[in-house]
Amino acid sequence: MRALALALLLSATAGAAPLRPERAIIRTDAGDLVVAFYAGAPRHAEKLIGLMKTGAYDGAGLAKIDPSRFAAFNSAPKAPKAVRLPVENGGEHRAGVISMAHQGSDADPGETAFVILYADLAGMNGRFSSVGEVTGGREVLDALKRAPVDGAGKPVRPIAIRSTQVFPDEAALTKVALKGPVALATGDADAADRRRWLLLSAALFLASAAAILLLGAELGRASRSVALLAGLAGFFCLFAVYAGEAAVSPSLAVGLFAATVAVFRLMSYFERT
Amino acid sequence: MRALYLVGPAIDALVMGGASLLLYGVCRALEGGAGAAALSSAWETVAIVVAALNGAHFAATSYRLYRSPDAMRQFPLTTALVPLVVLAGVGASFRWPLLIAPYFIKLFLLWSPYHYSGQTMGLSALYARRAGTALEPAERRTLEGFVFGTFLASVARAEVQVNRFDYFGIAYPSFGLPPWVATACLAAMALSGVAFLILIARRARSLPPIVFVAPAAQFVWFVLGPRSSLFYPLVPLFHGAQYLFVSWFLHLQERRAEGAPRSVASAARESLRWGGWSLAGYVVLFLALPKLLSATTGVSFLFATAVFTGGVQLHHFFVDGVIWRLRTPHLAQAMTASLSEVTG
Repeated sequence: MRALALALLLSATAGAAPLRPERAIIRTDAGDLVVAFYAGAPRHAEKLIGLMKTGAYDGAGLAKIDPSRFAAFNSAPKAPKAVRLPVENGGEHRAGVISMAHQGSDADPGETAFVILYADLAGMNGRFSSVGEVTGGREVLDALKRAPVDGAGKPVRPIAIRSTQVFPDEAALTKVALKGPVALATGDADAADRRRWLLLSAALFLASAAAILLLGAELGRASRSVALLAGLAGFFCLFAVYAGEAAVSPSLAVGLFAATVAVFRLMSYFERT
Repeated sequence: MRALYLVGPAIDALVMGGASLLLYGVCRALEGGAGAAALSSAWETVAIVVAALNGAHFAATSYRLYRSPDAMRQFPLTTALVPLVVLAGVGASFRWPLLIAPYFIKLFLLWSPYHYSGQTMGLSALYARRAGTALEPAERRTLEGFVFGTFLASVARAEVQVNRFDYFGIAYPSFGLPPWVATACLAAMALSGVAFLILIARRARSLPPIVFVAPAAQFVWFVLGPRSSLFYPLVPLFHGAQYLFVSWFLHLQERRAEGAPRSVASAARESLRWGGWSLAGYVVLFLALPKLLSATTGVSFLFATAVFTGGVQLHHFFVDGVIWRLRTPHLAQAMTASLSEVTG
């Protein structure tokens, strides 16, 4: 863990803007981020440090992930009072920078919501307050990029800030264990294991379907229908495993397409006398 | 004498696909011009109505199955087991949003146009019956070849490209079919259509034009429709309208058979009740339950809506597959009755 902490501390920083001595750890469901604050944004930095010290961000969810631009956190749910501040330019809006939400947003009247940039976004300079930057845990930021999101960019499964911790200086961080990127419920982690599980399910379903189908004439409508349903479930397991790979194999693509249509056709015999 | 139309020639023809054919012509004429923007804006305005009507058609299926203990007893697996299997798929999609959800969505999106084709065949068969005749086996097979051919041609064309499609933010991959598959499907569809027309031309007793409206509409929906970005998003509405129309007619006939008075007022009351239940079902299935699932599982509302409503539609495909078999004597009798038997 120490080694990880050191590695995180030594990871690249966003820019050359002067930093305050304080450091903070933002512990998220995806792992820990280490942040530093810009000296050039004193009022925002003080506000953010104060909120982090009191745990005001605990439970703040990740509102939106745009892998080409930013990860946006919701406003601090436990912020004591709305305090608006004029825009401060702590540094350029580059990848890794923490930027506070826009003034006047109804959804965030206290302006405690912030984004962490994935790219250099010069268009934000002067319009938003750059208050600090991520100095450790870029791997965690990358893990956030891969989280499955819905059509609005919101993570399918909630990802939130669990807690925040502020340290007087960088040296104090070396005594702290940091958590690296956590495998989020993305579906791609352990894909090989799940594939084996799916193939086993498919085999069982198809075997049961075949067995009942062979005896279908004796077992009647209900058994045949159960067999069809089992066959459909088994087919779906295979479909989930192989449909993603069909594009690289024309014969697999044609086979899956034909099998899909055949399964639809077979389902017309479901609960038919 | 048996009535050919459920309500009347104009209304039946419009609902069975005539309105969609007219709209397709309008969309194609307006595309590229100033009118396209106005039409596109009009679609956005009526989007909620479109969603509600389309959603109501799914709810009408559930209403038809679950309102009647007889229907539930007749189809116990569809009633009880299929929802569990579908819910298992929904649950697995929630658990593995990248491994399972895309394929759950892809499966239902592929099944959907197949299901449309089944409905189109059913409607043609229904009007042939109401005309006092029936499609000969060879006619039926060639018509099936044409109707299901439009489904195959449309899906194959979309699946030829190597791409990732998007459904409410859930990305799912295309099959990446070789181009010859799309060509073969199109050719099979065309050959079946020609063969069907030849058989029909040789027929001793001609079929009324209404028999051909739904297949013609489906050809436009699936084969020509994707070329028009103004028209194509409305296709589910046309399918839903067909379904609601026939479903409403059957509901009135069944209520009459159960002893409802034979009068216009009674039919209007029943229609309102049926429409109310269908709309309420839409609200529950497409809004309330996804919201509840999102709140209880922590999964985002948009994702929960996409996956759960996909499940609702899969269930709908099963239910429709069993409750609309025209060979069922009770159904055949109700669907060949006339509206005047209900309204007096």
